[in-house]
Amino acid sequence: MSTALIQLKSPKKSTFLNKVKEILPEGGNLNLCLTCGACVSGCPATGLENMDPRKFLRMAALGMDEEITSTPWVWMCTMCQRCIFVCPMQIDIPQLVYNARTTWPRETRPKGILGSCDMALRNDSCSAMGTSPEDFEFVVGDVLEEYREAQPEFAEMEAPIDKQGAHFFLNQNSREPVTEPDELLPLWKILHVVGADWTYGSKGWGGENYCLFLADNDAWEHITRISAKQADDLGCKVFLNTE
Amino acid sequence: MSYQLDNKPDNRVLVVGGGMGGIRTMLDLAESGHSVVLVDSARSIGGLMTQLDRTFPTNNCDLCTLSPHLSQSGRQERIELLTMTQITGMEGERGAFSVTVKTAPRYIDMEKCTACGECFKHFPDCVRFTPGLDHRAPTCMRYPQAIPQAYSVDMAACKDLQALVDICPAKAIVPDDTEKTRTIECGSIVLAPGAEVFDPKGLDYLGYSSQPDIVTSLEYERILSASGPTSGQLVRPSDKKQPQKIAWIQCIGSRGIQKGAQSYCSSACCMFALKEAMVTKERFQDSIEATIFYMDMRTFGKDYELYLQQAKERFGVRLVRCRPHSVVHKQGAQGLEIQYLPEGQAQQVCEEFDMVVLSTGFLVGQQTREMANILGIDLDSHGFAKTGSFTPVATSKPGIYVAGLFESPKDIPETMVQGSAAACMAAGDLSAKGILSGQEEEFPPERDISGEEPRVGVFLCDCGENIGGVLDVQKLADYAQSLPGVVVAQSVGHGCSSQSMERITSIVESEKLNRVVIGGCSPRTHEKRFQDTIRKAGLNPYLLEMANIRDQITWVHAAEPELAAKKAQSLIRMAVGAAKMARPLADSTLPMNKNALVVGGGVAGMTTALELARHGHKVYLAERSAKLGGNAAKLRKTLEGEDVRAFVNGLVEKVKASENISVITGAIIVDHSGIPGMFKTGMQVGPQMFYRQVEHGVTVLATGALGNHPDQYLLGKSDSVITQLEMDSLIEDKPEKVKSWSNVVMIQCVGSRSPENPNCSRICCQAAVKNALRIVEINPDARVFVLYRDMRTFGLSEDYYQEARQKGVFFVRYSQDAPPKVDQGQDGCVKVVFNEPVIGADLEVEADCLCLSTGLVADDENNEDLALIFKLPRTKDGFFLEDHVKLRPVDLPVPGFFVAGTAHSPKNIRDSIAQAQAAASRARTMLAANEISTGAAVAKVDGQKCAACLICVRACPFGVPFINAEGYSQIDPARCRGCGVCAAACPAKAIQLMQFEDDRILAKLESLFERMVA
Repeated sequence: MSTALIQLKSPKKSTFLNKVKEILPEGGNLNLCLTCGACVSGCPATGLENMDPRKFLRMAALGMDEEITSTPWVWMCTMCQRCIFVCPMQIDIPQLVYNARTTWPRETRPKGILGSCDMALRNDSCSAMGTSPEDFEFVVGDVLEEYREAQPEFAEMEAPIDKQGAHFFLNQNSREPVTEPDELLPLWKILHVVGADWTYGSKGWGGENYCLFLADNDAWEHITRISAKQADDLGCKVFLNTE
Repeated sequence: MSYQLDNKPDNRVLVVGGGMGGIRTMLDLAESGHSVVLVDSARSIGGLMTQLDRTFPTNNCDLCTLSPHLSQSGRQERIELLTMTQITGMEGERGAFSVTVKTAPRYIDMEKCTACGECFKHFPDCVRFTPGLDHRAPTCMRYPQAIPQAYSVDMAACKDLQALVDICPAKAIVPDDTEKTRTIECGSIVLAPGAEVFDPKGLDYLGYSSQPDIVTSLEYERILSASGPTSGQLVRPSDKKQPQKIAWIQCIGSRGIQKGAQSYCSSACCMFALKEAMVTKERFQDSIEATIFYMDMRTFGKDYELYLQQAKERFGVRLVRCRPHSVVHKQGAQGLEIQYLPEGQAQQVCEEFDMVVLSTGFLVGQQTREMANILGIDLDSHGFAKTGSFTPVATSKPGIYVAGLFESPKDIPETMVQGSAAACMAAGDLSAKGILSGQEEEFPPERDISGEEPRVGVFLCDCGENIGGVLDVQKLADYAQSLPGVVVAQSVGHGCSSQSMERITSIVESEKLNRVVIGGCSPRTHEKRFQDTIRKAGLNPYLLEMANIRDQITWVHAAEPELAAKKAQSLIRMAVGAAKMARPLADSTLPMNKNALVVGGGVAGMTTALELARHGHKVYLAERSAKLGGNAAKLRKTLEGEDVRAFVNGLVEKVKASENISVITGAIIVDHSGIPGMFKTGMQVGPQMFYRQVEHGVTVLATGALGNHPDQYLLGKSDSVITQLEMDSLIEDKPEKVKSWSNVVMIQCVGSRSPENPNCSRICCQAAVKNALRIVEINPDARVFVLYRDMRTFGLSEDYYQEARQKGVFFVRYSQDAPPKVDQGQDGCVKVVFNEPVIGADLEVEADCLCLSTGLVADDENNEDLALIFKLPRTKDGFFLEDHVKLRPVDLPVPGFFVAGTAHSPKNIRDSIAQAQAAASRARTMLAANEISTGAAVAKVDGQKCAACLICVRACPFGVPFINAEGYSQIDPARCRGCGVCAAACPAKAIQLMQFEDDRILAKLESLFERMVA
């Protein structure tokens, strides 16, 4: 256990925690911690980088902003929400972590996430793989055709893209069309069997949103807006987020 | 029910709810001479407590302490019970309420029903009688002593009505029974509807809905209970195997703000989890492991901290300060997996348990909220009845009072206190405020048995499994039948149930019995009940003998049933032998002195005095110091923000203005004599120490406690170090100083929960939260640290703890082994260094003010003197010890003595006032009688045999015997306590102790040693 001595002399100052409180409903209940341990008991990232959600919150509450905004632990959190789900005080630790990520200069953020976000910004697919709308349309058509032939019971199956007025707008993790096209099939089959009226969009079909995990608010918003606009333009009623 | 009510509605109280609180209110009122109507929506009374296996901190079975209370409810002449009844309307105001109630049809005439069970046997589908066999059933007859015997018919489920009617030998089925509405006129109303327990079904991460081995604490009680679904066998619901590892998880549905949880603390759960864990460990010793996962261990009640120590040290209950994330059942696995982070560690631990108990909290039920709406009383945001800091049992509507869980979450002793307090307040609204004569129960004339040969009846209880589980009671009855002189010998099930008592009465009459032996439990708890039973049959009550085959046999020799059966035969034989020598005795009576002495002029003493004075009693209020007011006079604000000083001043004025109260300040009690109802107490008064003696019937001790002032953390050595009490005034008087502070540190448990003073002072966590909130109110920039061991803001005060956190007060836990370090710092500051356990770092704060929560300690010197003079026992830490910590928290063990306020244990003003009102109510139950019965067990001297040797005069601890003018020892029966010391010491055998005469005891011994009768 660390025995570092933290000296507190000055009166309260404006801290990182207070800034986050201002932007969250009910202040994210960030002051209410009972230190009960429910979050740490269930967090997959407990113990990584000598950090855990309760300690993170506690340090933030004490105004230890430097530690909070520099620990790489914030990138190990998966945003799974297991902590807030059971927290008696419903403390929004995930949002605190998210906002800690935003304090990192963009270029210092983890390479994998950063690269995936940048890829998504390349074209209107918003795919972390950088796949173009055309490539996506080609793969979907190709796979569909192949399976209609191989499995006659699905000869009528469709995988529409930009079908005007479809009820469901579906997005898609872009790993499948690029590296595992066969895995597109099961969901199509289900939708076919239940008779769902659905469509992909040629724009904004990429379902993963690495910009969200990168805590790049502008990029995140940009990607989300493209998807939403495409669904609206097609007149879809329901947005099915498959991620 | 066949009880006649007197027709004075304005002298009647309506009590809603038949749990512990309601029963206490009802009995207090009835014993004080008022009529009571008790309504309960359930099919029988008893409330939550009847579902418990055992209660803390005695760890005894409840039913034997509770059931005499319940049977009393069936007996009292001034009581009317309406079960299956709800309030539907209310009109009028204090002094003249008119309440409409609706009684659901039971389809059984309770006057005819003998509870024989024939209907249930033949028509189980439509007769409701579930003797607690489903641990998850919400309503069922939980216990065999239920009042009234709770059969009822579900008409919708009945297919052959005529057959059902015909099967009843008592012709008690009423097929055309209907819902009945009636109006009850009453002067005041007491609400004691209790609470519901949180349903954890909605918390999917705990797995309660899907896993049978995850149970609530109440369900676990049912599993442990002898009258429960498994007859007291501890087995897992899933596979009926005994669990090896059990986990308790605290604060389920309490201290939370999401998924239906209530933000307050339910107050009782820490104690009942400890109790369940201890009882479990006690039964299974090393073969079972008990673990409690908790947030703060809240053992704040009287001596509860010792209970916690006992759980850890003596029983090896494991306490883990961590709330687990979830309970997971992995497919195919036997156990339930709990993952948690042990204190001071960085990595989680995953542990498997066989059973998980969820400590679910209390909440106000919908039905109660609807009733509150009908009555027009205000509720707080949680649904509890709103009351004031200084009016703990008064609702927002005059004439309507509240007791128990509906007031706020609490345990049984506090419910009992409020039950009595509500009785006191409700009685104050009745027109007949004067002292009513206590009416004795109507008994038939006593039968003269002189000249009759002994005809003994032996009645044996099985007490459910308690006795029946070890002994073959029928066989024992057969044996008793063979003893000479025994006319009848029978097994009677639960002898203390109303039904069995009625049976005993009728057999005594029909068989012309003149002696009765009860083989059952302890005469200490039940003798009076059985004496009344035979008295009803026309027998003198002293013709009864009890053999304690439960405590002395089945409870202690359960492992050796054959030897137990032999010993049971011996005890029964002895009891029969002694019973044959029993003779009719008369209780002597003396006139009751209706005055009261209240010792201590603080808030508690003044409150009791005013309440008794209001009911027409003359009160002597003796205060040691020169002024009334006590500790509260030093306080300024309550947690709720009310003005203490104004309240105390008002109270002093009222006391001084009361014609019935005689205030004696500067009074030091010096001597005491007499018997309950006729006391004489002497005191030295004023600077001159004049001797004065007062005569009184009852005594209330309200002598208070002392603020602790331990020599720790520079207290008294640095101007920057103060106590919470000093902080309370400083905030009021010097707000500019508070404004100048940057950092304030508070340290909890200073001088409490330590080897020198092991108990929790109960009030300090609330005081710290109160003052921290006031500091940040005045100075929002101040940083306030509260260093605590367990935050014990129980009940509704938890909301203030939450508010303090919300406002940025920083709470840091410290462990007893590593207390904060305090040194004098720069510029009048104090340097406080403490470990922050979550971060794992030491923090150093330059505090402008260090505030110590020093709590209260007993006024040891003063209490010791009073305990000697009044012959009262005390706890180890010097507070007065009540008669029964669970059920009689206001009565002291010496009859006629009551305790209120901090003389009993540390408590806040609100709780002191409640106990003071309760003490007045308890005192009134005694003062209502016109006569004192001194019992029959008194020493009698045979003047012919007395040699006037003075041995008895010297031996008597009470100084009663004296040598009279005729030259022999004389013992005043009114003053004799019946201890028997003189009888034992008399060399001439001239003294006999009635009820324990030599021939009776010798007959007992002869029966024990005689060989088996052929």
